[in-house]
Parts: sequence; C-alpha cells; structure tokens
Amino acid sequence: MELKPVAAIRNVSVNFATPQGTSKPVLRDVTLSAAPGELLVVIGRSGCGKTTVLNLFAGLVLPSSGEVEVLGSSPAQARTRLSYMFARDALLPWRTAARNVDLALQVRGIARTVRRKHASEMLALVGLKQYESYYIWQLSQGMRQRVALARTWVGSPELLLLDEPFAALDAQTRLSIHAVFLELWARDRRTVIFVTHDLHEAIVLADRIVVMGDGRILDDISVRFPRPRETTKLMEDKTYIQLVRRLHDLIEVGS
Amino acid sequence: MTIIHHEALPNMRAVPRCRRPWWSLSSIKTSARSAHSSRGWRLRLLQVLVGLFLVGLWQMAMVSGVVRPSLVSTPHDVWNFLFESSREGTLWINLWATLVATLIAFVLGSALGIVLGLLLGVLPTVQAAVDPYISALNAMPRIALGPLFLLYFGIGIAAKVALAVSIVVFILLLNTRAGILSADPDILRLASVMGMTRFQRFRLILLPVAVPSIFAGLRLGLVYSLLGVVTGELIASQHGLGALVVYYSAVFNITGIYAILLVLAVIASLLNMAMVAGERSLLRWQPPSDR
Repeated sequence: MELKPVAAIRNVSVNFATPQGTSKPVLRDVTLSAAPGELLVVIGRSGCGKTTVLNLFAGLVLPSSGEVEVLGSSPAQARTRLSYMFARDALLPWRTAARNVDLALQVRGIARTVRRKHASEMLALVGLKQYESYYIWQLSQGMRQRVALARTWVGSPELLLLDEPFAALDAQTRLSIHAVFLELWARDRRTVIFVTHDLHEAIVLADRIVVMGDGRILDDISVRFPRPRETTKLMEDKTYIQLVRRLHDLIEVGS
Repeated sequence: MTIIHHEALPNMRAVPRCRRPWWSLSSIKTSARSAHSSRGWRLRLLQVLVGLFLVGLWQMAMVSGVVRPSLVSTPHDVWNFLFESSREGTLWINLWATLVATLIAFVLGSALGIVLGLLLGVLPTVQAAVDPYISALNAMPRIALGPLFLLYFGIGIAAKVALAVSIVVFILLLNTRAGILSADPDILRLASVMGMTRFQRFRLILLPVAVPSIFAGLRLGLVYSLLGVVTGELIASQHGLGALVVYYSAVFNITGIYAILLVLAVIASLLNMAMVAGERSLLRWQPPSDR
C-alpha cells in the first residue's frame, strides 16, 4: 500500500526572468514526492534548481507549469504546518536565543508560558540550555545554527524544509550538529526535505537521495545503511565508498 | 632584529613588546563590560583635559593681546557674567523658556515624524508617490519659514515650537523610514514562510528593526529642536536664550553673547548625553562595535 505523500510536485517547470528580459528554465518537468516520515535529501551542484524545489514547497515560488501539493493542500495554506530553515540563520538580532526559538510559536498565537516552556526544552535538546538569554552576536556560528535548528523543530511541524543549513560550519562542528539533528529527527521521524551539496552529509542523513542537475532529476537512490549512522564508521564501508563515487559522478556529469 | 641565543644571556626575561601608556584607550581584549568601564574614566579625564586646554588657550590669547578684547571676551569675564546673570534670575527665566519650547517641539515633532515614517515605510506605493515632495520640503531651509510662523502664531512660544517641529519632523521621518527599509531580506523571507500576517510582520520585525534608526533620529532631533527654537527666538521672541543673544548683540555686550553661547553648548551636550544613556539601555542587543 502506497502512503499518500506528504509533499509532492508533479510535472513542474519553473522559469525565471533574466535581467536581459529572456526566460531561463530553472526546473524542467520535475516530479518529486516525499513519503511520510522520510528523510529525503536533494543533492546537486549550485544552480541545479534544488533550492527552487524547496521554495516551491514553501510557497515562495509559483510553478510556471505543473502542480504542487503540500500536506494535502496548496503551499500557502500549509505554511503554518511546515518549517523552513535557511542557509543563513535569519535569527532576529534583537531577541535572545530563547525568544528567537519561541517566535515560531508566537506567530501561531500560542500563550507565553507555553511558548517559553517549549523553547527552553528545544534549546536544551540542541545543547544550548545555558545560552537561553544570550543575544545572537554573543553566539558562535555553530551555536547560531543550533538555535535556528531549535526554532525549526519547535512547534512540531509536519514537514521540515532545510536549505543547506550547515554549509557555513566547519567540518567538526558539522559532524556534531548532524548528530544533534538526527537525534531530533529520531524522536518522532517527521518528514524532512534536506538540500545540500555535500555528498557525505547526504549519505549520513538520508533515507533517500535525489540527485539533481541542470533543472532535472538525474537519479533517485535509496540509502539503506542502518541507523544510527556515524560518518567516521561509515567511511570504512565499501558500499559507502561506491555510493560516494556514484553520486560524485552523477553530479559531475549531469551539470 | 638580532636573534639572541638564550644561553648567551641567561638572565634575560621576556618583556611584553608593547607596553601601552596609561592614557591609551585601546584596552586589549577585555570583556565588553570591563573594557567599557576602565575606558570610561580615562576617556572622561581626557575630555576634561581637552576642555581645560581650550579654555587655557582662550585665556592666553586674550592676555597676550593676540586677539582684540573688543571682539572676544575672556573666560574670566564670561564666568562672572554668568554668575551675575544667574543670581539676578535673567538666565534662569530665559533658559526655562527655551527648554520648555525645545521639549514640546521635540515631543510633537518626533511623534509626528515617527508615525509618518512608519506609514511610509510599510506602504511602498504611497512612499514612492510622496517621496519627491518630501525631498523638496526637506531641502528647503526651514529657517525661511520663521517669519511666516511669526505671522501665523504671533510672538510667543507657538511660533518657535512650529519652526522647531518643522525641522524635527523630517529628521524623524527620514530616519524611521530608513530604519524600516533596512530590514534584512532573509528575515523578511522567514516572516513570509512562517505565515506571519502583515500586522505581525510589522510588530515583530519591522518595528524592532527601525528602533536603532529611530533612536539616532531622536538624538539628532533633540539637538535640532534646540537649534530650531533658538533660531526662532533670534528672529523674534519675548523670552528665551535666543532673545537674550539678540538683546546683547544690540547693546554690544560681547561677554553676554559668549556666555549664552556657552550655555547653549552645555545644554546641547547634556541633552545629547541623556539620549545616549537612554539609547544604550534599549539597544543592549547590538554587538558593542555597532553602538
């Protein structure tokens, strides 16, 4: 029995207007869906259209043709039930970490005491319990991304969209934040669509990897390594190395 | 630099290369709070020393005869004059008149300017339509309106307040609008994705973003309010520091003029310092270098 997808785009093409006045195709007749509880990773080179796919789901971009369905309705209507994390943290500098996290709940009109409690819990989960009342400028880049992560998860969204959220972090910090992310995800296995250009990140996180290139889907690969996964251990696995090579070749050739 | 082999001079100890003099303000890598307070008293001391130096220079210039006494008064005379004037009460009556007008104009002008600035910031079409007129009005020297206001309001507090308001409104309007327009596009996109209503976006994002600019505007506005009021008094007024300046000019009381100018300078500084203190507590969230 096939489960109804949480989010789907069908035969979608997106064209953007160039400054010269012509039209540039960013997505060409793409069909993609995410099943409930799936951690789907979309990978590809810069400019392949992966961020546009996320923006379609978030309702920030309208398709030039084709249809987009999110949580059974249009993206605009599903907005309050999903969460989007950008590459740049987009945290509010005039709020402390805790108040940044509870912004997501404040927008939904949730009462203050409830909000504060959830925000505290979330920050504790990402390991920032003592930093609740710090302002953003007082936090390191890795800590800021964790605050943004907390803000993304608080309020139990039914779908999470993440656009290269860890791209700005150094390799070590990235490993530890992967662990935090997977822990959060393991709690209730929400549907996640994660965009990245980092092959290793894709493999350690994904249930399924979709490779994109030049506005098209090049391949759709199931990743079956058992969880919990650890990059350092995985790197010794032969299938892992084969997968890395396969992804690398696809991305290399396809763009 | 010659490399000295450590065995050649066994008694040599490492000496920190750059020993900073006590008056240096660049305290190295201390936490934000301690740097501020340790820098604080040194800075104040320097400022006072500069002031004393300037006064000393002034006195020297007079005593040595470099500058003609008929053009400039001496610090000593100015001090005596101020003392007398305050004892008589002349100084206080006029100071009060000026200050009251300044504060009224500041509050009215700021309130109006901020409201208009917020409106223009959130209504881009209206903004675009009205912009050329605002630029034109702002470029016009408002001092030219002084005599007009006198005609409308007569010689009294209203005319000087009107003149000062006409200056303050624009400062706050432009600053507030600039503040709103400076919102980070990433944050605005986030607002969109979170499903914020227009009102929520205004209250939770645009308003806080505008606050630093509004405060910069308020700081300017207070000083320009004072200037506007004094200018109005210079044109025509019954009371006020500007009126005193006009009177002393007419009777060639150079000392008096200098004394009033000094008082004005001191008031402007005090007002500015008050604004800075208020600003600092409300803008705690900014990184220290941005303040």
